[in-house]
Amino acid sequence: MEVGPTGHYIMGGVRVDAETGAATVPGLFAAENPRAHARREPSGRQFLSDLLVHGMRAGAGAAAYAAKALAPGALDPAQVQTGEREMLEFFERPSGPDPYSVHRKLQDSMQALVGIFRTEGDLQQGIEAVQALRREAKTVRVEGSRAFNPGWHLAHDLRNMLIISEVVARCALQRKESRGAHARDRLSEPGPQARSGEQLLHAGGRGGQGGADSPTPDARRAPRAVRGARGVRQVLEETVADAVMHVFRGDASGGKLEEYKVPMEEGMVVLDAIHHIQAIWRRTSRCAGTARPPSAAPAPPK
Amino acid sequence: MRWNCKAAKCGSCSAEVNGKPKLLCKTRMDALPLDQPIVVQPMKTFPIVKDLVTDVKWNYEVNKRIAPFTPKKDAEWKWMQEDIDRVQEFRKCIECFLCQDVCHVLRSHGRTDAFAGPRFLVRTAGLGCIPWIR
Repeated sequence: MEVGPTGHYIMGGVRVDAETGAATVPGLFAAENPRAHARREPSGRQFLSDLLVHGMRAGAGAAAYAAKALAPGALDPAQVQTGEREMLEFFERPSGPDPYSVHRKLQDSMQALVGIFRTEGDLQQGIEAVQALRREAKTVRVEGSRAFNPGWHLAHDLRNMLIISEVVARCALQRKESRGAHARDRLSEPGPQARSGEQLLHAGGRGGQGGADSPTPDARRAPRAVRGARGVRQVLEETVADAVMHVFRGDASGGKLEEYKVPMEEGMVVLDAIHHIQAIWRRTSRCAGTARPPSAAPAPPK
Repeated sequence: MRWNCKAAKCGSCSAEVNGKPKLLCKTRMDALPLDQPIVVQPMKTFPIVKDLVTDVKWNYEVNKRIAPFTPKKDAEWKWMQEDIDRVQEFRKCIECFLCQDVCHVLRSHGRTDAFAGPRFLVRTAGLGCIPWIR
């Protein structure tokens, strides 16, 4: 069986008030976990009691907030309209990259540059790569109906994935020691940051740059822009050649071989090629991913 | 297309690649001739559901007709290592059914009424290796 490392725990979260679980975003609550510091190894046993106690506190905090704060019609219609428009824009663009390719590039960048052993140069390149993908994600286009359209869901989820990826990379860059699961520059010893384990990032508002806070003074500067001879995306997009596949499509009533071109990558198996083709199917089929016939799909609002 | 483990263990991704029976998860693209199109088709012997997915439930129905291992009452539960070793290879079958797909009796002559196919020869051979039902 193939065995590989996997991520099973975020080792981070949002800063909350101890008594109520309230975060700095109004209306957001989270169960506090006082042991979720980089200095500790993750341990399932330890967290169960935290979940129950702080989960209940956060739930009570949320309930008290909801009882006071939410009145009927209190939603801002402009925000609702903006949200709806942003969701529908993915269908309305005449052209643009598909979400699966942007997701794939994000996976490749994080795997190569923000992996298990992290170096300063890689992390800076990783932050640049993610920022480029954030711009690209804004131009993503999907097709098909709104019913069960996984590509559409991914187009929406990409924004959060990219934010989290940038946060992970920035925190890793700032923490110059190795601690817990974060390993810098071949396992250097924990340094003077040891006394305060937390790193805090705050967003600068929609589209803003935000900033990073840390109790240690030397970590406040933003990462340097790196101009290399070859960009990261260029390296990741190098391919050997395209393979031509003829794949049967049809059912009991008949079918035929359809031709697809698939970019070759090292170690690729036929299964990977079929997955690549499926991403193309999702983009080009009129009824992407849904089991219902096209006539049953709801029309988007005008 | 069916797939799951990507490790040649679950037997889901059986198909015919360039006319040969293959697991899609373990057929490297660079092991195929790339100067011509790579042809990927579903298993021919079984009824097609859609694209590369076929209906293989006939195999499970045949399996139900084979008596499973049932120890004799009060049988002694001691094996010799060589008896255990003998049965291992038969039990490694992942039920991908590619052997059933290529067997000409089933594939070309359609004799599912009369022949169980190679998968079940392996199954009965494995059962036959267990000492106290011999």
